[in-house]
Amino acid sequence: MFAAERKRIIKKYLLENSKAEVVKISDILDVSEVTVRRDFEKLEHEGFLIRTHGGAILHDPHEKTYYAEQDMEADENNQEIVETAAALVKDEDIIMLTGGHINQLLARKLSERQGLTILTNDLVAALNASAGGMNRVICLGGEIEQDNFSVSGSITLRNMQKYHVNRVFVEVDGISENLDLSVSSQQKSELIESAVQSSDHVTLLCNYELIGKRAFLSLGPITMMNSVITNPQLADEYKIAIYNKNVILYTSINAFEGNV
Amino acid sequence: MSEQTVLELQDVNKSFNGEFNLSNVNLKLNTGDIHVIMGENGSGKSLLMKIVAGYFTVDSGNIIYKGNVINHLTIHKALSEGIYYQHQDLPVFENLSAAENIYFDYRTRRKKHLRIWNELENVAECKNLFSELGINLEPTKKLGLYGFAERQLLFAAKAFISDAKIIIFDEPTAGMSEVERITFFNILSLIKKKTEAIFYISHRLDEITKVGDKLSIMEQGRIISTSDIRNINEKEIIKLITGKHEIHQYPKISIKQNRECLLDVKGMRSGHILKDVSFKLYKQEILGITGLMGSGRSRLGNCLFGIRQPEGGIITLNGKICHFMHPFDAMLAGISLIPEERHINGIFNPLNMSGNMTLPNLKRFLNNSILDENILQQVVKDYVKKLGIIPADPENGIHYFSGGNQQKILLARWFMKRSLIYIMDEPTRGIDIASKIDVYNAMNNLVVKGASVILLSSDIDEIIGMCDRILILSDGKIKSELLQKDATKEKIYSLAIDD
Repeated sequence: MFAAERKRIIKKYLLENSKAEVVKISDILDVSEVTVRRDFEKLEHEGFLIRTHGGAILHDPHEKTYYAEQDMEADENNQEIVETAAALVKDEDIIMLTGGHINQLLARKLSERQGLTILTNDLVAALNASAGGMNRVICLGGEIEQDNFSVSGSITLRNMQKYHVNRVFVEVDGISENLDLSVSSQQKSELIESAVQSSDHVTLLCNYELIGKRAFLSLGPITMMNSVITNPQLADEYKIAIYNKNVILYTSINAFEGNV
Repeated sequence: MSEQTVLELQDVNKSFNGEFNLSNVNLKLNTGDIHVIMGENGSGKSLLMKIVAGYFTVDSGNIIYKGNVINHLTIHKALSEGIYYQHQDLPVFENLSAAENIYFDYRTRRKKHLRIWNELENVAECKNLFSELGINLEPTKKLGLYGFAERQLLFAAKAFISDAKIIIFDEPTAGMSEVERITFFNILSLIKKKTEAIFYISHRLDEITKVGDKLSIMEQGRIISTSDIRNINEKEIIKLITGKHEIHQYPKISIKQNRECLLDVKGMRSGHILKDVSFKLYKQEILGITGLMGSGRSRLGNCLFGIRQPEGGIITLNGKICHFMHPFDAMLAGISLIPEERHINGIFNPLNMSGNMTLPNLKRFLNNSILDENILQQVVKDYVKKLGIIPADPENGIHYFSGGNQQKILLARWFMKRSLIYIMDEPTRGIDIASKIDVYNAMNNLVVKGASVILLSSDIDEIIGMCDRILILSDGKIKSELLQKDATKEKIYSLAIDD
């Protein structure tokens, strides 16, 4: 098969599926994996796709994203966290997402599922979660914070106290070296505290780069969480520290290429 | 009973690679006692005995033997001082006869100058010895033809003639049948009359209450209690062993299973160790198999991976009956094994990290029979990042990596192979906590992506923490099956030690 022909097929496949795995493409085209990886390399130079571990995703500069543009690396890391978080959500769970980038991505991921009840104070997350149309999505009311499209304040808190959820996914704005959590506003702190109280299991979603940063309002020690989902790049001393505090640590290892 | 102390350990410490394996061990061995030592696998029983027998020296603390401090023993010195250690996995000469194995060092230690090997005399003496001890074995038969239990009997006979003052038995009855055990206990009672004191490591409750005088229980390198066996019942012993140390939480992801059977093993037999093993493995589950030392966990893994051919039984993978004559067959069928002895069976010392990682996967990097080094390095880099391997330079020799990172390199090797079933044999033994967490999370990654995991482990906490279902292997059979929600440490332990 000629190179041009292969490229055409890969492009078509990517446009339909928006991601492609090396193993799968090599099966379809009946060429070696090395050939596929080289084609991916060329197509990346052309700006058509972005290579990932074991495959590639479609690079669409016009893609409409509700969340703020972040760099590729952080985006990939957040996506790993989302995959792990989604695997922890069981069918028919009632979950709560507090505001933040990762939760917005998680909401989008969960829109592929059905039968969930999703509570959130983040407007983007609410929109993302309801995209599939198969879940119940409840958006807590309140005053909109302009900078991050989430609602907060006394109305939100009062609304939230009516619900009891199985699991809440929390995002914070900073984690100090000795693993104390902090957030950037009073409203956010109140909301998280209230969410923690009305939930069976609290899970913190945090990019490993967040550790060492500090936001201005202290929230509490990491032990207020039942589990933490972060990236495998997290330094060993933090892994050990979190383990010793008896908080479940998911490092979102995602090394397996494609599916079985 | 005279309470005379033959051997005393005072604040003995020993660490390997900065991790404490024994800390502040205090122990007294009294004249005339059979002192039983119990504890979970890896609690440091054998290590302690090896220190007494001169295999290792202590980091700090004292060993006092008959009033003398003997901290710097060698194996040879310990023997001549009268300390005989019967190793757990017996070091034997398989190509020599039973009599030769028993007597090869007997005369040299006794007669300093006249060392003549008299085969006939040996065999005759050995025959007498066997009839005195009631061992029904042939002295001239090659040792390689004897099974594990028979070898233990031979070595008990060797202990009998050794005239040692202290004899240490390290799980002598593991793998013995009832008849052999009766013979062994006869020998043991004869030995007890001849020698001053005995250390006895065992897991079997019934036998320790029968033969033991004192009982010490070890947990994570410490002696947590020493008591008189007559004052304690079996229930209390189990409680002491399973202990109440801090429970850590495991990062478990449970996948909703549709109970689709992936692997079906029926009636697998192998040697004296596996008698009749049957179980099923479902898609996307982590199946834990646990059992005592010598219960055949590793043998089971080896049989499934084609390292050993089972003597009977049927393995059905994805509805097809399989015969693995070689690990290569198993790999082709979609099975990977991460072996227990990482240094011997896992890593290739002469190769660097990328070589170790890609070895079974080189076919993936072929382009018209030529290896594409460029692409290979890119993929290796991806895996290094995804598994957090440190140091990250693929050119580094494998020996530059810590145990935990070596284990992660092995994980990367088999992840790259993209198998259906991952058999992990003691994947977290001897690695640091951070790597342990990564190994558990890697297991999650496998099941999320659709693969299945068989976790062979002696760490009961880990088994309960990570597995959807738990099988208990005992006496060569799958003794019972527990779901994660029903499993407790005490339950598993009492099922495993009970025959």
